[in-house]
Amino acid sequence: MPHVSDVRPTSHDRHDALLVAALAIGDLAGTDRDQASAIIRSCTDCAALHDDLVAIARATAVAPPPFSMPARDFRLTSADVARLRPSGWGRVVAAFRAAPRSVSRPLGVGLATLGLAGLLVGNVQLDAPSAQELPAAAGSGAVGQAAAPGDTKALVEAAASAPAASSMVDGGTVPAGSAAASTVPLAPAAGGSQRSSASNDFGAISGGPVSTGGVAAASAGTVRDSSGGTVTGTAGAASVTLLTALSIAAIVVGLVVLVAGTFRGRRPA
Amino acid sequence: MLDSPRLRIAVRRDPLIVEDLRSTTVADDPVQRRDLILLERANGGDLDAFNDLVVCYQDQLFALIVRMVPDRDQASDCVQEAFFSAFRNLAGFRGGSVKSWLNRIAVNAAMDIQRARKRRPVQPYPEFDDESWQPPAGKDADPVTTALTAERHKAINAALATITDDQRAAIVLFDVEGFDYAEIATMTGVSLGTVKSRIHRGRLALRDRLADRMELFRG
Repeated sequence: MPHVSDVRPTSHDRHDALLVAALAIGDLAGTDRDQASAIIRSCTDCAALHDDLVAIARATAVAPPPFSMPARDFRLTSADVARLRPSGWGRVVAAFRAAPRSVSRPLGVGLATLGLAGLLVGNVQLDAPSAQELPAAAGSGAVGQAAAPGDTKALVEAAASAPAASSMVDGGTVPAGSAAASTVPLAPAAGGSQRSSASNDFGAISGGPVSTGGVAAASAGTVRDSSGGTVTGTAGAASVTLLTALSIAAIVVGLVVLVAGTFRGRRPA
Repeated sequence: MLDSPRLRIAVRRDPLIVEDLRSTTVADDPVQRRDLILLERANGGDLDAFNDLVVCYQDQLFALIVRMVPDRDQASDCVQEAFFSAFRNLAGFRGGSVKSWLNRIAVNAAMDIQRARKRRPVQPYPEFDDESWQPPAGKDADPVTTALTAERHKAINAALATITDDQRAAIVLFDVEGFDYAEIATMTGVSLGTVKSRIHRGRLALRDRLADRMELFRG
């Protein structure tokens, strides 16, 4: 923005044309307006520019559209309505988009957070029992090869081979429910009959009583041959898989809600 | 404790007066009230109500959009798309002026089409363009004045077509449609300062384009 000292009749190129344009539109007030008025008074080119801008604005305001109005009717037909109405997932997204941001944003953030928490909990539960009880199980000689901490692939394979392990144990004295759920209670079972705690940890089934005879059979190596099946059971793995799937679904839905709300905020339509 | 003078003062305090701005800005405007009623009925599934709204605003929207896009067919497509979009987003209307809401949608549709054209430039068939149309002159109009006015309008529209899309949109919304800076800023999604800058720069650009024809506008 030029100073007042710059205002000279021969310095038109140094004058601020935007200032003149702002004066022509009536945007200026106070010092700026005085400054622009001084420029116009002292510079004939700026004065001509100001007059031209005012004349152009006046002509623009009354200029008709460059083309004639269309004969087209823009009213919507029933077919248009049927086509435009969202269906299926589009209706769900439209509902989220229509919801006020004060609802959609906390909902989206909450769902995404819940999903992340679910993923975290699912993975921690998957690893924790094998990590904690590995030494005890090693002491009893009932540790399978796939029981290494964090070895998720091995655990999944173990889940797949669990029925075999279950049938073996069923041949002994261990009830099928507790054996299928987990063999982790086999390690502390030396004290006698007790409930399976690991199956409760997985949250799927509650283990039945494990008899000393069953534990003894496992300790003797009957179950060791079905190494994978000694870590986790089918129901436990299924519950973890379900939890993971639900968590991922929650994250996806949460992100969709957030994105829908964001785009709604940016664009009115 | 109930006899405490402090409590008595608290009870005697007058309730706060909350001014309801909506009652003075929306309900007092019969056009806006009509629009809101139609919109509410349309939102309830009444297609006729929405079409009434279309009839009310289709010419105005077309007149706005036809200045922003290079030909009439594109303007028609923009307006139709704007009404489709408005119908799809009826539930998303957050109050305020229905006219501004529809204008905003139409301006966005025009901007989208212009961006798409820049990505995939096409040359329209020149014989389909009808630049000879002018509004009918009054009975007492002087032929010279009429011709000058037509020439001036033609020059303005041609110059408008050569400036940037953003500047053109801002100038049309401000000069032709009469929206204020805040409304234009809301419609185009930019700040108030950007709107002012676009208008100022757009007018300077128009003056540059019309430099050799300014005698049409002087006097």
